[in-house]
Amino acid sequence: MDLNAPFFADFGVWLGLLLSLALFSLLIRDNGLARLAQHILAGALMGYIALVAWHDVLRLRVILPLVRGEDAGIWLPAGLGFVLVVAGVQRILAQPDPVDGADGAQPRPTETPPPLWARVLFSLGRIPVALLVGVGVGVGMVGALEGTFLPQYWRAAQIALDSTAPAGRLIIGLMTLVLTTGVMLHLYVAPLAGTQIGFVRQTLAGWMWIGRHALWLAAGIVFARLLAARMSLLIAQAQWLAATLGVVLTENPLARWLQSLFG
Amino acid sequence: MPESGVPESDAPTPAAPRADHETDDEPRASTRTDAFDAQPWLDYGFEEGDFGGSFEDDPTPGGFDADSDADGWPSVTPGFDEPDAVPDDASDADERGTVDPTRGPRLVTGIQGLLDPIRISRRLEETQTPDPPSRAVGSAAGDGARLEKLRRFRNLLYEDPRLTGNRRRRPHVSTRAFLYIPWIFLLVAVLTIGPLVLGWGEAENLPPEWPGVAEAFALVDGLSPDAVVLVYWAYDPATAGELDLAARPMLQHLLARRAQVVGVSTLPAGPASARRVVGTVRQTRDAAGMFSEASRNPWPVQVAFLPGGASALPLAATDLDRALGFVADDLPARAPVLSVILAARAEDAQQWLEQVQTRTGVPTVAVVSAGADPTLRPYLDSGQLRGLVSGFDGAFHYQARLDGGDDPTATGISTATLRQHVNAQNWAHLAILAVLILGNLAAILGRAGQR
Repeated sequence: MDLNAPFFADFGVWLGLLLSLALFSLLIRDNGLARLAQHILAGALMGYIALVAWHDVLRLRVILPLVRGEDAGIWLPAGLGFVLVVAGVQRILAQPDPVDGADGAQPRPTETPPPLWARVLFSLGRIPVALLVGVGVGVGMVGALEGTFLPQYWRAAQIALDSTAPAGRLIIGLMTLVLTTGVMLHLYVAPLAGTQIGFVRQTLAGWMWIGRHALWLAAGIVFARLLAARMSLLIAQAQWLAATLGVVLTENPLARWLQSLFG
Repeated sequence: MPESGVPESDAPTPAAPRADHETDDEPRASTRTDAFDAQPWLDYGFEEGDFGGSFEDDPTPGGFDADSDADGWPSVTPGFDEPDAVPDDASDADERGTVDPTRGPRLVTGIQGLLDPIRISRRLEETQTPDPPSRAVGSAAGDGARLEKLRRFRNLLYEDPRLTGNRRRRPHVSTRAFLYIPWIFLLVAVLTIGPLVLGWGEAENLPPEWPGVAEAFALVDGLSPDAVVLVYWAYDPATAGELDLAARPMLQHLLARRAQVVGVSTLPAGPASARRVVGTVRQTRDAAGMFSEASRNPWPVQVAFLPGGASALPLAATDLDRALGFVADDLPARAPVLSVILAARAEDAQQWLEQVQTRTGVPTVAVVSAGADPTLRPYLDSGQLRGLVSGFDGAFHYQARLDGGDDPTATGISTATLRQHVNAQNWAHLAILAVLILGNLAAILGRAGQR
């Protein structure tokens, strides 16, 4: 079967057109066609992910190296992964059935404790989970420190300590300092501000006022750019629909498709 | 300080005694004020059917069903007419032997036109009053329902005061027309799609060029042939509508410079998106109908899926071959000289900068969604990013530079599309402005009507 045949290209166009229109019908109201389109898209994505997981992960990075003996160290992560999968599957299968006829389907409490082998399996399954969480947290924290906090702090210090910098840059640096500290005070110090003495309280109140409004302004800017991003998606989809409909109406790929089906 | 905790100077004064000729059924003359003319529902003789409509039909979140609330809250029943039965303090309630939890203490008396106070929360007072005996104490459903009612009353009291249990005449200003959500969708859709289909207007108001686009272009333009470029493909078909606008000219430029492009993606559908875009770029033809320089690039573009999320990204810095995951003879033997991030979310770009760029020190350019731009600007200012192309406006200016470059075969296949896009964005922004103005008008008129 030649997947590059015009039939598949035209079929893809028609399918994409119909699914796009079905999803857009959500703007009118929720309906069965839109739900069907959502289910198709979600199912196709999950199926594709399953294929990628098998082809690009399990086969390429685990099974082939094991079979070829290319990497002896692959046995440990492969073994831990296998334990995790088995523990997860056993846990899923051991879920109690929901109470029949009950609203909200409350699970029936288990009456007997799990057998020893299941308890050992659960305990072993904690090891790869702990490794995943620990590695993730460690990598994340070190990366945030090295990649965000320290470079940004150094950049702010450079602006502040550079006496030859133009006035505009100094003003921007000073504003950055005031706004950043104001936001921090508003978020973390506000509950304690009332316990301070007079002039400190007033200063804090003014500073936090600046921080609060800076937060609103930043949120507005982020929202505006997000709106532009979503508009871009809508416009791109509309452009594709317009182009597809134009092709459909002018070149009539449906006729070509039917012709290819029936000769 | 009395037991109630209220300073004596602020202590409530006893209510003025009724005159002998006055009865509970007759309204006090002293309570009738001009306010009753404007708000006749405050009158004790007010009949709930006078104005028609139904308070239950009030769609405001603070509305409540008087019938269902009447069971435990006698004060909300229309027939409840004992305004002066409110105890001034707990001692009055003790003298009566019962405590009505629906009533709160009257803080100020002797002033005409006051509404009867209603207890909305036991926490407003320091004295604790027991639950009424009719309530099922300890019943979770009962406590939940009671708390919900307390919450409704609290919401009601945050707004302008109105008597509970009485029919309230709402001003006849229909706010529904202004806040009908489908109309907003229709307005935005018409003003966005209309220019595309009907060709409204022209893109005369071009978007501003943000800092970072020129730097990104210069960096790519300065690549030597066969330079290795590492691409982090962090978007999938869900956001391809926006990212493709900027990714296509960037890839076109890279391939036109004969760069050797390899990539990783932490998204399962990322490699598929990459193949689709690269295929489109390679099919690009110039005005003469010949294939462009981009399509003549001999190097295959390979993007591999890297499982593990952000935790696996350091592998791209320390062991690129392992990160790419395939054994091929045409893998680049040289280290990358440029990194390009193609990301829909700011977090993905941040993770690459934190996990890979700090280890390799390779110059990095980011092509991101418009929503990610504010978060990544500081990285451009600090030098961690050498270029930043964000959103449709960044794509437009990058394509414009590409069209005006030295490569005569660099076709502006996307230029017409981008101009259409800019035009539609301008109209969309007008639609959003209109919605903002109408929404504020509706809020102002609604507030004026309620007053």
